[in-house]
Amino acid sequence: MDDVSYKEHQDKTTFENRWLAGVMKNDIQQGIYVAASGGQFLGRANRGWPDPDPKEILQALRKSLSDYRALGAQRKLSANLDAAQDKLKWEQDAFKKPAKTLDLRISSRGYAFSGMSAFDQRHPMYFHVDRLWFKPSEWRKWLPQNLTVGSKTQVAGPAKTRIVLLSHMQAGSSAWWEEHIRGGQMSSQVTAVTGDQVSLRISATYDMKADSEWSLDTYQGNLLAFATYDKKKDEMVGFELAMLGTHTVGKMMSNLHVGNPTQRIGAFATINPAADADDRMIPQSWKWGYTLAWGRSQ
Amino acid sequence: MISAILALVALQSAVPPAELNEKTFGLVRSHASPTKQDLAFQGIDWKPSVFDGLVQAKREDKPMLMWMYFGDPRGRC
Repeated sequence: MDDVSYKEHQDKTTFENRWLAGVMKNDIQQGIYVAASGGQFLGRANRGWPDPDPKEILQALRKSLSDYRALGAQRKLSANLDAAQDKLKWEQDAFKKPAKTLDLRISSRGYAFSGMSAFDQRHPMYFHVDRLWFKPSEWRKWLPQNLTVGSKTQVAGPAKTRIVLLSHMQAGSSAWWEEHIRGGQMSSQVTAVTGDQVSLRISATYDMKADSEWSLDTYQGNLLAFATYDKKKDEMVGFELAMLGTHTVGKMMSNLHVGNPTQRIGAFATINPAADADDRMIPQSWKWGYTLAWGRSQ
Repeated sequence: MISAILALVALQSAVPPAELNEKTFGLVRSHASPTKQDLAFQGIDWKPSVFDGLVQAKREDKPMLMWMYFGDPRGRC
């Protein structure tokens, strides 16, 4: 749950927002909390910094559970909730995945660097995971005009740039814009055709340097992907992508970074293994990286 | 527990290949992919909103564990 979204939501009258504001005493902050549906705050569970302290966390959870049981009947919300009137409406509810979108799970993890510690999310103990979506008009850029072995095409547009503009190749997020991609290219070549299935080898290079008040980072890296396009289904039925590069933090921030600003980092994407009805995750940058309009066409 | 610690040590000491090609593709995939332990949090049936949590907490007479994070756990801060 996004604490800032709740705090800044314009609708202050709907029950969901009133309940949360009441529990948090109008001071909604990030953290891990325990509460009773009856509206009682039972404690904060995030303990330890920067490394979580499992013993203290468990102790805090046990105390909250004990306090919950001691509350008696008032611990349960008495009102019967109606989603139509008691649930907040969110802008992202309108963000949809177009049919036949290539839905990837992408993760990244840095390699060891001098001076690293758990304080900095670039540490290899942390991994980053997100969704990376390409709708048909975007992933078709990987298909050469002739789907015969040896056919090749140069790739431009989101199929080439989204992965870096949305910081999928690094730890955390940096502000990358199109003009920060200073060099590099992407190509896709048919390597085999078996029945309806067309095998593709996609490769790319990236040379990036940000130059804005929000980021002075640089990134140089390579991408290699192996995809299988099914002509009959008109879908990508197989996709594995790896990236390996060097990311340098242009301006070290005392609340984020420690150690060497330069780090080697790897990323890997595959068809989202959780893409079923229970998968509620949409790409983190759905609003600015994709936009609502993106989801309205294929 | 021991295997988890060994996995963490391996991740922290992994050396990146000099370049990305067909031969090193698997090494990068192994390093960058989340481990089973990394994805343990997905074993919890997290609800996407306070409202959904409230409905279940009331129905099952259980306290709510609320994980609140600016943006979501994938970025920003």
